[in-house]
Amino acid sequence: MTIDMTPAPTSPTPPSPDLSTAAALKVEDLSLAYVVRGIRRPVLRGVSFEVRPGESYGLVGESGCGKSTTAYAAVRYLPRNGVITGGRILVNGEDITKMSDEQVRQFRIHHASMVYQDPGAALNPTTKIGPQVVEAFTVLGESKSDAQKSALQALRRVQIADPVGVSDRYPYQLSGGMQQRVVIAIALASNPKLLVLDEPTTGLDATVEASVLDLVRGLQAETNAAVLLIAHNLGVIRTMCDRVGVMYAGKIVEEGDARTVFENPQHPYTLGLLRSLPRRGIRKSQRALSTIPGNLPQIGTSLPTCVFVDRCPLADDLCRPSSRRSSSSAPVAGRGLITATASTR
Amino acid sequence: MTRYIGRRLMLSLVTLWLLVTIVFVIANVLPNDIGRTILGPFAPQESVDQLNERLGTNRPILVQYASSILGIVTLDFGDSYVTGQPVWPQLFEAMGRSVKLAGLALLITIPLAVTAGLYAARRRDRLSDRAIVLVGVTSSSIPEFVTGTILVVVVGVQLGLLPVLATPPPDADIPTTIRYLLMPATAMAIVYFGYIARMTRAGTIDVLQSDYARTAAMKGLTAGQTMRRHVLRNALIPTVAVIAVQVGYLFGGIIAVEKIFNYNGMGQTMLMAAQRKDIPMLTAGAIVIGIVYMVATLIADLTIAWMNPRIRLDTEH
Amino acid sequence: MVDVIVEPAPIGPIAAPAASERSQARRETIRLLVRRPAFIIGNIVMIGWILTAILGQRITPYDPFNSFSAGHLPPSAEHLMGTDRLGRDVLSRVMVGSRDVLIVAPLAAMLGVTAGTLLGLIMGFYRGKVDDVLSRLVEAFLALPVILVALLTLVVLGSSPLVVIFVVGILFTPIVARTVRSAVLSERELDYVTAAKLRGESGLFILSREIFPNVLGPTVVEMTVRFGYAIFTVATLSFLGVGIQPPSPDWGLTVSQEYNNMISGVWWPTLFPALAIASTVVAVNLIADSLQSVLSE
Repeated sequence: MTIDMTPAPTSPTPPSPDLSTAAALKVEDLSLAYVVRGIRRPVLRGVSFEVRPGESYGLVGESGCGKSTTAYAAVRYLPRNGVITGGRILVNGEDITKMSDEQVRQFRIHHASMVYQDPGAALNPTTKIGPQVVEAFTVLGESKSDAQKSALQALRRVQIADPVGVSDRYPYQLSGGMQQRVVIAIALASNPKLLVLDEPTTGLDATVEASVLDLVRGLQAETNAAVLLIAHNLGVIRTMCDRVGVMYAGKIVEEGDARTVFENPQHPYTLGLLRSLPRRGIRKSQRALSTIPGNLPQIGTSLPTCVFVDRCPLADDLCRPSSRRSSSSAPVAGRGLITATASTR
Repeated sequence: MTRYIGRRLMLSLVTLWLLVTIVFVIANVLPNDIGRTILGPFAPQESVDQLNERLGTNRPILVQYASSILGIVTLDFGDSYVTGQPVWPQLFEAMGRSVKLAGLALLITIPLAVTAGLYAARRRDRLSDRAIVLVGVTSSSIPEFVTGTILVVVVGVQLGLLPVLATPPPDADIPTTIRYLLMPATAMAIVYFGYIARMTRAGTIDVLQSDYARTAAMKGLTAGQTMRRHVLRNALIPTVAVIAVQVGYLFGGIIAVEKIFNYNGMGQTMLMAAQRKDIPMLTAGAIVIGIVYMVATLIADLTIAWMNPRIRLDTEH
Repeated sequence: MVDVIVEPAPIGPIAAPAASERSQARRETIRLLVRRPAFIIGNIVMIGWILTAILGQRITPYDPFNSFSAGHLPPSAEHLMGTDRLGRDVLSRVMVGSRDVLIVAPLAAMLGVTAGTLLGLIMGFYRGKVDDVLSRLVEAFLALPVILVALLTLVVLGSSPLVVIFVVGILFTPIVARTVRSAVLSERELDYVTAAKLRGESGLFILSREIFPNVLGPTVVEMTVRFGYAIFTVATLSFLGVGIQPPSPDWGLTVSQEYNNMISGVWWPTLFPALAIASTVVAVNLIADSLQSVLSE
C-alpha cells in the first residue's frame, strides 16, 4: 500500500519491453490530467521527447507550463488526483505507466533518481544526515556497515570535505548548497540510468548554483546517466543541456539541439522568452524590456491545437480552428514560425 | 534548549498569575455582597453583615487580592464556607480519586485514537477514512453525561455487566478498581477519542504530503519503512499538543460523569460546593485545574521543542 | 540571433473577470455542500428540532407541563416514550425541550464569535504590544476549565438565562480569537495587504474590507463549531443544575432530574432527552465538518 502517492489508475497488463530503442527515457504522446472536484483538467497534452544515456535534456518554460509534472511523471510520481489520460513513458524500454506499485518501487530503487527544488524540505528535519544517506544504500540491499561506508564515500563524491562531520548534523545546520549536495549523493547511490532534476538550483545563490551544476555535469560524465533537467532559467539550460524542449501549456512547442534553439529559435514563444532576457549593458532608456503580453492559461482550460495562439504576435486566421474544418485537420501548431513569415529585418 | 525552557517557564508564570487574578475577580469582585449570595435573598441583614465580617469580605479589594495570592503560593486556598475547614486537604484527596478516573480514560482513548488517526491518514478519502472521521465527529459531539447515561442504561442496568456506582470498595485491588471505573472512564474516553483521532489524522496527512516523505518514496522505501522512519516522529507532534489541551477539557467533563456515577472525586466536590455556594472551594478547584492544564501544555510544548533539533540544540542566536 | 521586430499583440480575454469568478466559485461551493450526506443529515435533524421548538405545544401529543397518566409508565402505544416521574408524557417534553437550548446556545455562540472575531482581527493585524498583552490574557482564559469557571460564575451571579449566555459567550471568546488571529496572521503577509498599505489605506479599511472577507471562511466554520459546543456546554450546565432552571422541560435539566431512577430500571425519561441532546450536537458538528471540508478544498 503506497502512501499518499496513489499511482494513476493503470491496467494490470505486464510491461512489454521495447528493445528497439536505445533511449533511456522515452515519453510518447503523454497526456495527464488533474481531477479537480470530479472534472478532469488537462495538464499535459501529448508530450513527446526522448533522452539518451549520457545525454542531458532540458525542459524549460514558465511556471505552470507542466514541466515539473512531466519530470515527476517520468518517475511515476503523480499527485493524488493525477491521472494519465494517454500515451506512455518508456524507461529502458519498459512502460512505467503500466507497472504495479511494487515494480515502481524497484524501478525507483534501481533505475531512476530525483533531485529536488528545495533540498532543505526534501530532507527529514528531525533525522541526522548520516542515516538519511545510509538509507539510500540499505534499500539497495547493502548491510548496515557497508552502507555506512558507502554513505561516506557518496558524500565525498559530491565534494563534501568533511563527510563524518556532515553526517552527524541535522539538515537545518547545512547551507542550501550542502543540502543539495546531500540530495545528489542520495540520488546517485544507485547509479541510476535516469536522473531527473527539478529546478535543482532555483533556491540557491548564483555562485553556489554554478558549483552544483558543475558537480552534476561531472557526475553525469562519470555515470553516463541520462539527465532530465527542469528549469525556468534559460541560462542554466544553456550551460547544462545538450538538447532542450520548450514547454508551453502542457505541450512542447519547440525542441532541438540546445545551441540551435537558443541561437535560432523557430517558435514565437521561444523567441519571446529569449527576447525577454534582460541584456547586459543595455539601459532601460535605450530599450524597453520585452515581455510576452498575457498570462499562461489556467490549468485545465481546453485549448486549440496551437496552444500559444492567443498570445502569439504572428497569429492569423489560419492558426485558429474554424467551424468548417473537421477536428482531424486541425491547424498545425506553431504555424507562424519565424522562418515562414520572415518578412522581417 | 535551556533558553527555550527558561522563556517558556516565564510565560507560564505570567499566565498563571493572570489565571488566578481572573478567578479572583469572578469570585470576589463580581458579586457585590458575598454574604448575601451565600445566605440568599431572604436572610436578615445582620446575619449577612456578620458573615461578611467573618469572611473578611469587607476588607479593601487589594488586600483581599494580596492575601489570596499569598495563600495560593503556600497552598492555602482558604477555608470552606460550609465546613470552616481548610479547602486544600479535601480538594487534594478528591483530586487523587479523579486523577485515577481521568488516567484510565486517557489510557483507553490515546492508543485507540492515535492508531485510528494514523490508519485513517494512510487510507485518505477511502471508506475506512471517512468512517473514522464520521465516528470521530459524532463521538466528540456527545456530552459525557449523555454517553454516561447510555452506558449506564445499556451496560449497567440492562446487561448488568459493570457496577453502576463507580466508587470501588476501599483497598480494592487494581483489577477491581478498573472494573468499577471502566464505565465512567469509557464515557469520557468516547468524547476525547474523536478530537485526538482527527488531529492525528490531520498531522499525519500533512507529513505525508511533505517533501521529505516524497524523498522517502523516491528512495524506494516501502510504505511501512517510510511510516516508521520518517512519518511517525514528525506527525505525532501535533498529537502531543492536542492531548495536552484535552487535559483541560477532561476535568470539565469529569464533573458530569462523576455526578452520574456518583463518584466522589473532584467533580462531585465541585458540584456540592456549587450547590452550597462554597466559593473558596470552587475557586480553589478552578485554579488547581487551571494549573494542571498549564503544566500539561508546558510539558507538551517542551516535548515538541525537544523533538525539533533546531530548538533542542540551540546553537544559533 | 535573428533580430525580429515583433509588435505585441493586444491582450485578448485570457483570464476571466474576477467578479463573476467569485460568485461562480460560491455557487460551486454550495452545490458541493448540498451533495454531502453529512450536510444533509445534519440539516434535517436541526430543522426538525427548530420546527418542534417553534411549533411547540401545537404539535405535541400531550401537554408537556401537566400530567395525564401515572408516573414512570414504560413506553407504550399511548406514550411512545413513556411518562416521567410526574406522569407527564416524555415524548411531548422532549419535543418542547429544544426550545430553551436553541435560544440560549446560539446567542452564547454569537456573542463568543463576535467578540472573538473582533479580538482576533485586532490582535492579528496590529501585533506589537497590544497583541502580546492580549495573547497572555487569551492564554490565561484558555487555561481555565470552562465548565468549572461557568459553575463558579453562575453560583456567584445566579443562573438566569442571560447570565448563562454571557458566561458561555465570554468563555468561548478566546478560542475564536485565537483561530481568527492565526488566519489574519497568514493573510497579512500576502501581497494584496502590502499593496493596500502602499496605497495609503488606513488600518481599519484594510482590516474590514481586505482581510476580513478573506478570513470569513474559517470564521464561519468556527462559528458552527462553537454553536455545537455551546449546545454541549449549556446542556451540561443544565444537567449540573446551574444552567436552565425548572420548570423548563429542557433536556439537560430533565436528565438531571431523572437519572437517579435509571438504577431501578426506569431508563426512558433519562435516555430520550439524552439522545435528543446527542442528536443536536452531532447534527451541528456534521454541518460544521462538511463546511470545513468544502471550504478547504
